[in-house]
Amino acid sequence: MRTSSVGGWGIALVLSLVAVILPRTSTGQGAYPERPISMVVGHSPGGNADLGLRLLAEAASKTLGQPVVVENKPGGNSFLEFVTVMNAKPDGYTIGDHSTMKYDLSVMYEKTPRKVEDSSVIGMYWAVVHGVAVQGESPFKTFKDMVEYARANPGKVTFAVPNAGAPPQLAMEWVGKKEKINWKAVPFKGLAPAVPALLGGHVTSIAGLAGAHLEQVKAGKMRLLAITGATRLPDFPNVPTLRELGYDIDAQWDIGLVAPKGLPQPVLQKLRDAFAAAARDPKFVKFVKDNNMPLATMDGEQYSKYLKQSFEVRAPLIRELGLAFKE
Amino acid sequence: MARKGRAGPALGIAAFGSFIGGTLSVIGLMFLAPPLVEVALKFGPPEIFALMIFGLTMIVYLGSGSILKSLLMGTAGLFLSTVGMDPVTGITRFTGGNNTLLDGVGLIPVAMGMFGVAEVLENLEQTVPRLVVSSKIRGLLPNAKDWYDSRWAIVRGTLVGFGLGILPGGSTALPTFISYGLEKRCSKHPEKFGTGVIEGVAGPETANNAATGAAMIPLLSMGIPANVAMAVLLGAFILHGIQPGPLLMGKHPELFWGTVASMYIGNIFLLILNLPLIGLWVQILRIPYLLLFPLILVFTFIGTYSLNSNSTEILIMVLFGVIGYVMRKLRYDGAPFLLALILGPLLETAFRQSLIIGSPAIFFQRPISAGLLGLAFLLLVVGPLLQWRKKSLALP
Repeated sequence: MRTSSVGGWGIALVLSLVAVILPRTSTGQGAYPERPISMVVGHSPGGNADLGLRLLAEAASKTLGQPVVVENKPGGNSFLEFVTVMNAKPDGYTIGDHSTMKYDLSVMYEKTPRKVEDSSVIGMYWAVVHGVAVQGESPFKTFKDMVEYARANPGKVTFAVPNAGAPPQLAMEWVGKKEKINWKAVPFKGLAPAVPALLGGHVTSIAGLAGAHLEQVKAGKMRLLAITGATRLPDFPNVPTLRELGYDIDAQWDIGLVAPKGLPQPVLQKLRDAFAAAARDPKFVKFVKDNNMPLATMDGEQYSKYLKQSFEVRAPLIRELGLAFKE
Repeated sequence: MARKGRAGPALGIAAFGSFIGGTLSVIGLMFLAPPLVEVALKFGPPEIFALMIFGLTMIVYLGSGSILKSLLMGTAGLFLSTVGMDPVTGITRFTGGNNTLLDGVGLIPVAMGMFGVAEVLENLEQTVPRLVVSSKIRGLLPNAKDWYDSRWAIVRGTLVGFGLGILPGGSTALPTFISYGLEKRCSKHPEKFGTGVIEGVAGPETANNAATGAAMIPLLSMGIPANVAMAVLLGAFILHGIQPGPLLMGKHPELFWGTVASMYIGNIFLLILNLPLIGLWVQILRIPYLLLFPLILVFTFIGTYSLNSNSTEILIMVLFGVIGYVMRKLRYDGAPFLLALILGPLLETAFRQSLIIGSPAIFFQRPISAGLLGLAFLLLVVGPLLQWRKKSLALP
């Protein structure tokens, strides 16, 4: 019986080694892509960002001839996905979602913020506009009402944010500093858990995605007080932007794609072309329009420039707000 | 129960319990949706925190050994759940610069290690037994006595699953474990749990299906997903141009009733697919262990690797296999550890959010969270007190 158990261990060892080693012996760079591409999405499934990216993935799969498979990694408020992609092999089989927010987070979480040059930017595909909303029964009819209440009651007004450090949080913190009021951000993992928190009255307001709240607003359960983007939204003609209210800030959340640094140029070009085409796919366009989001495409080079410019503006802002990385 | 040769009835009652729990919760969904959602909305971060604490005190009833050991395991699980990125500030903890651990120690590698690999290691230290089950496998379906024994377990499982599944931010882990704890508490022979008591299968299986049905309620009546699976369904609706929200039932009644009908049908299929195959699954136990255990190991290795193609996770699994083996030798139970690992991140997030909203007193100022915390405290105190009382009364 002793020898049988050793034999058993032997079989187990060999089989498990085989199972681990086998997937590694893939062929070299034949015609890219040769196998499915993994798109790491730093957002919870079912959210706006995730849905749009899935549509892009589906459309790009057709052009590339290999499936683009979405993998959700919502950890660290979408920062985990960024780190995962940056550390992956630059072989074109791992890409991930990208936005100026990743660099904001880098300033907040890391000692040395990452630079745009340390990645291969694929492109930008759409933007999400945020809005500040309160419950339908809330006494605040305008944004100013809430500001005044916060001034009179420091520490009592809270706003839910779908990701810690997300653009709407920066906008609200900026307003808070300007108005010298003390209101607090409550982070949630995505928009989905934040909405019940608002509807149940556990937080005063939500700095969430304006387009996603349309149904709730129509039903009278939520009231949109302000848009954090640069222009008013067609579905909410009466809601002012923060700029119109006198605050010199707008926070739009751009969504694009990125790959690790050092991606071979032909592979990068193929990805750029495939996703540029995907952004014209009718399903994707309809989704973006239906959800009140501006369709904004930039190719890789333009997007790199845009990211660099944003970084110049946002990094000092984050430091000024006291949110930057502290030892 | 498999060890007693009663694997068939166990699988059978699991299938039937699931069917009953699932069907009843869909019926509940049909009639009770709006008022229940109002209750669910009252659960904000402090209430969710209190609920998690209550769930974790169920640890007291999960362990087969001493309560102290179970609590130790639960605490260890909570500590392990802090590995990775902090949910609020994003600072990495205990990762040692390793990227695999950024998202925390994976649940699947740990579970497969502690319950799969460890079990194999434990079995191998004896002279390799020829079969897992030495007694004859009797009967494939639950008999009349099984049904009689399980009847209240199924009722309680349905209620627990339905009640807890509707709450925001939960997973099906919570109702399942709470149901097991509840069954043990309500049973006339709690010490037999772990040796093949059918209520321990009937209750949790019913609960997790009831919870799944209940999770649809916030989605269909308010457009709010209660957990990740519902969020994906929400996404599916949006992709088809339907915006879930409070007006969904009025604007798209065919969607609501269509979903309800599909859930009924799904439950029936669950039964049809499960029952005939019981005979087949049970035969696996007849495979000589000599062949079975390498297969078990291979499946756990491949399964873990298939998640993220990350061989570090296999190392984690093997590590926890060894840890699990040591735990078993020292008679520590792995279930509380795993529950704490699952609930840990949810607990911490709710706690941090609550503290941003208010001061530490907030947990006691709000009726629901105060009530749940009080209940948890009672459980923690009453359990050991009763044990101590029994012991002291037994002394001559």
